Amino acid sequence: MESILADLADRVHAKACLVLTADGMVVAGKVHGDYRKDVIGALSSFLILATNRCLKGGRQGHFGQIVLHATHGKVLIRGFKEYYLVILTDQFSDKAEVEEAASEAVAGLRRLATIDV
Amino acid sequence: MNLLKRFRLTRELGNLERKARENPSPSTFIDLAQVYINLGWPDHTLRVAEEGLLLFPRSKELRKVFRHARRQVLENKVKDLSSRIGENPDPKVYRELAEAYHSLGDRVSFLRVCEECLKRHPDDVPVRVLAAREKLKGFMKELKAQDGIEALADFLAVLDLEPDHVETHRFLGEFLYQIGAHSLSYHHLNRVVELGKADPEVRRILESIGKPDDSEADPTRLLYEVEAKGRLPFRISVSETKLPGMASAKTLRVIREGLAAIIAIEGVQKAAYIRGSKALVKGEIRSGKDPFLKTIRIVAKASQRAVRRMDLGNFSKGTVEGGFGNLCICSFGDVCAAVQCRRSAAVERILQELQNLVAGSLFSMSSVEA
Repeated sequence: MESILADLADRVHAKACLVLTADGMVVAGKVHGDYRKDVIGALSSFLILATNRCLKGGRQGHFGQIVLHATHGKVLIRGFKEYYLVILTDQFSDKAEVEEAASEAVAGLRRLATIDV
Repeated sequence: MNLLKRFRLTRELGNLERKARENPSPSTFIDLAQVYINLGWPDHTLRVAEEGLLLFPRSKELRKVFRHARRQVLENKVKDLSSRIGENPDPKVYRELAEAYHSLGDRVSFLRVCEECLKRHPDDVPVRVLAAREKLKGFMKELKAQDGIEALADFLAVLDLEPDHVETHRFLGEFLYQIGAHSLSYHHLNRVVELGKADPEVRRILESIGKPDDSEADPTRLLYEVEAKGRLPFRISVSETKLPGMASAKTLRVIREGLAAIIAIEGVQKAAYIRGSKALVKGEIRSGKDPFLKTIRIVAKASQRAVRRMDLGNFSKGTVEGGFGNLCICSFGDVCAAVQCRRSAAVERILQELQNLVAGSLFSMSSVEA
């Protein structure tokens, strides 16, 4: 899992790549600079829970992906199974490229999280 | 606190935080905030109250906790800044302390700090302007001549230090106009025009003064007359465009046209423009209780908060994708525009249109205000 995230971070020049549960528990992650996994995990969890709560309230199920653009960066949150992949990049990153890399990483992570019986 | 106790406490708090996030309700947030209050951690209390209010903005209890925590944080800030002034009596620290007292609503302490700063740094313009504005506010409220005299003296002292201080010329012009010193008012407002900073309000006052006579009225005598009569002889009417939250007809037209253009894009189902508690909507929205409106408000606020705390600056736009289609949101300050569309819709184009709508409305508002 760590190596998938490290490859992903290198590929999209991410500031941080994390896999977490909806309640903010960080399963694995790769962060650069002053970023802290627990802080990003907690903030992402806040956003995930707030969004899903609203969508459920409006009987619209849950989200599959969130993409946020900010002054100094972008955030992509992709749900898979009961986990979420969170990617933080700089503001110049290409959305399509990050989405493609996220899809491939999620496919790899899905395989890891599946236990064949 | 020993290490074991600290560990247990951290674990308990972690559990409570998780519980509040899993089953969010005003009471779970209040319980958590109460724990932080008991521990004497006002920063965390404020954070929890803010998070709770984001989800439950109408909860009276949460608002009460928020006010209490904010007060505690400000009081701590006051203590910290007061001790810093002892070590380093820098005007910037004085300014911060004065502003903290202002936020606490402690006018007496605010003016005392300004006075103390001006004794040490008589050339500090920002603090003198702060003090003058507060005294002017006091005069406008109670019409006591002494407040007006002191405000006038402070404003004139600012102009001695910075003769082209536009804000002070404007304040003085409006203040003197209202007490009836029209020739002096004309002088200051005319200076605002000369400095290229006049707005329609300044021009309107200048027009109503007309050609000033050369007789110099004594402002002190006029202030005592105002105090005796208990009213200002001239009032500046507050124009509609100055009221926050109110949009002019031109701005409303810009927003309506923008929404109409967006709803015409293929695949767009709902579109909304929100400012504060007001919303303009287009498309399949039946009432103000439509969950779409609640969702975009909460997602926009949560996104703003999350990206800011992630040190990514300000949230500008975003998309939420799911089985329901796509939600596209564009936000700037307290203005937010959003769309719900099918998955096949051109998201990039919609985001571009939303940005144009928000920027256009803000430009229209600012041009009307200017």
